[in-house]
Amino acid sequence: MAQQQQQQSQAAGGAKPMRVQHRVVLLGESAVGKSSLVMRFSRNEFNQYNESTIGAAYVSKDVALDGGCTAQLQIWDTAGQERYKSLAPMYYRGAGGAVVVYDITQAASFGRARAWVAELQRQNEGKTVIALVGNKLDLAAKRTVSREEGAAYAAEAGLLFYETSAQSGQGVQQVFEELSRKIPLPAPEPPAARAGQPAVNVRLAAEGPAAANDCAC
Amino acid sequence: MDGDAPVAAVPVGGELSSAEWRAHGRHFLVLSSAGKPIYTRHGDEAQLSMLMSAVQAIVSSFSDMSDAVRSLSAGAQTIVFYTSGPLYLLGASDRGDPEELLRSELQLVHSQIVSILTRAQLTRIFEQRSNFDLRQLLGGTEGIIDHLVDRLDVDFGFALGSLDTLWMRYAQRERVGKVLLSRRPKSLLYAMVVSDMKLVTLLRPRKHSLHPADLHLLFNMAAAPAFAAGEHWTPVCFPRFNDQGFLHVYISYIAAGVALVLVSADRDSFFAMTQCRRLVCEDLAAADDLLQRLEDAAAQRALHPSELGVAGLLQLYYRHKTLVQHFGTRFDESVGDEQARRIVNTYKRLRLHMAKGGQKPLRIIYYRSAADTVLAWQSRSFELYAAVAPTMDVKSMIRLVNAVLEWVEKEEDHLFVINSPSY
Repeated sequence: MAQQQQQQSQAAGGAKPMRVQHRVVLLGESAVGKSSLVMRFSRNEFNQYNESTIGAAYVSKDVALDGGCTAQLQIWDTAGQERYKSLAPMYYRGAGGAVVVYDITQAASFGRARAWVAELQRQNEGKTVIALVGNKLDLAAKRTVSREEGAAYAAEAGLLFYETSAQSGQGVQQVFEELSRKIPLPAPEPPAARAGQPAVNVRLAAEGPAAANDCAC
Repeated sequence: MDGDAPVAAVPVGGELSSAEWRAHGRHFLVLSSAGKPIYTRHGDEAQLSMLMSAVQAIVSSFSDMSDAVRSLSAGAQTIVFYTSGPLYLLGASDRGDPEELLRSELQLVHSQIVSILTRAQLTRIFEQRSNFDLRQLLGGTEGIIDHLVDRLDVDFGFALGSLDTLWMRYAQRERVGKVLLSRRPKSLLYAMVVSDMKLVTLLRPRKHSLHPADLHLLFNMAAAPAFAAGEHWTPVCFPRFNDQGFLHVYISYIAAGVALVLVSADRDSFFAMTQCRRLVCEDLAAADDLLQRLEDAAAQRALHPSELGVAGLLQLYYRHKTLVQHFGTRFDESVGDEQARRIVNTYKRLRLHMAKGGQKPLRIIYYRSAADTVLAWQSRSFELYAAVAPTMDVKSMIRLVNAVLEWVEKEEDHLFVINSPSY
């Protein structure tokens, strides 16, 4: 994995590493393009006949934040199939950000996306920044969910809203970059004070790197 | 029952032309006990709903007589049924596949479905809703079942019930095993390095080992294109180990064609696994470039028959009874796909024949047809199946096989996983 090979970037003064980790989960019905969005974002590739995700796939990718800080996005791309539904909490629990995806040509997938948003907001008590993404903008001619409908729901529920095409790449970088900036940085508390409370970002990462706490930006 | 009639009656156009569907020599269908289509290897299961209903009617009318239907013959077709709880499976073949063989293949297809869902979940779902559409839950895994069904047709390994092994120098294999052992996280149960269903090495607890059938299902799954890039974490049920629950499996390709498969009971242990992968890869790259050695071995795939130092050998399987491992060579270039399939089919039938021998089982079968010459040989310590040039006489064949046995003895350390590490 790349996560520990990457050097922690140093501030010009050289004192503190400016590096945070954000856990981001992708949710949405199967075949709306979750894996394709991740592949476009992380490797700038697209595969028309991408295989269904089985279980969950993990990708990490760095994003530059304002002020010279870098966020490592730890992205969990979950399978949209029904059978994995009970596993979803394991991925979204404690996630800093969530990308909830629907297919603008499939009205049913929009309904499913709203259900994911409701579940996330209930379970994570509003602590997860959610981006609602209508994908497959390249198929806009077959659209059944209007941009207004998506935007109105996002505004009402307090979500970031985007329409993207994983195929052409349109809007994809923006989703992940803006989401990264919106995720609150961990408060710079002394380690002792943190012991009693649940970790926000690294709940899954029992043996993961702990650099997140030191970001000074 | 003639499986074709209801299909021909389906008026739907599109990709399912009944002539095309009928052209396939083997069919595997899965349906629920309520007659709902779940899976078909060929065509679209939704368009086969009349056929599925017919199968359901046949199975249930026999079960009403408390005498389950086992198989039917219709012309050259053998149709075999296998029912397990809420699932009905049907296999049809016009290749002369014996009933027992088709049934054991249906059992494997069933086990693969269990590996995805667990038996507990299957039972619970259908108890709650007997007409549940199971495709909702299997969605995205059709490719895994397709892959299994296709492999059953051309790979003798499933029928042998042993693990296929990748040829590798003893010392190199040993070091790969040591690396796995030294980098084992606490939450790890099993670790495997595997290349397209061929085992390189396997790390296991001292007192437990997984059943080869469970490993076949796992390796078949790991070969799915969905896992080809990146890191993956998915629940997998091992039916022989415990068909009621899941273990959690990490799959990532560490070199072209070489997968690292890590099994844990802790579903929150992904990051320990990803850390393990990183350390294992570092160690393998540092130690005599083992990562590259692995990639080379994987690219080699199976041995070519000429590498066994004999002339006239077209293909061979050797099963080591004590280790419960086997290796198979590639087919000689002179053998086409159709003949290769036929030879594998012959191996399967000869093996069944030997197994049925009772007190005094047959030890050697020399089989000759117009096109194929095949030898099957079982001893206390091995099973061997060989296809040779059609013109070869019995004496030359025995000579060839004896030469191969000598070669295997000499090469044993590199052919098989002799010392798999345990903790």
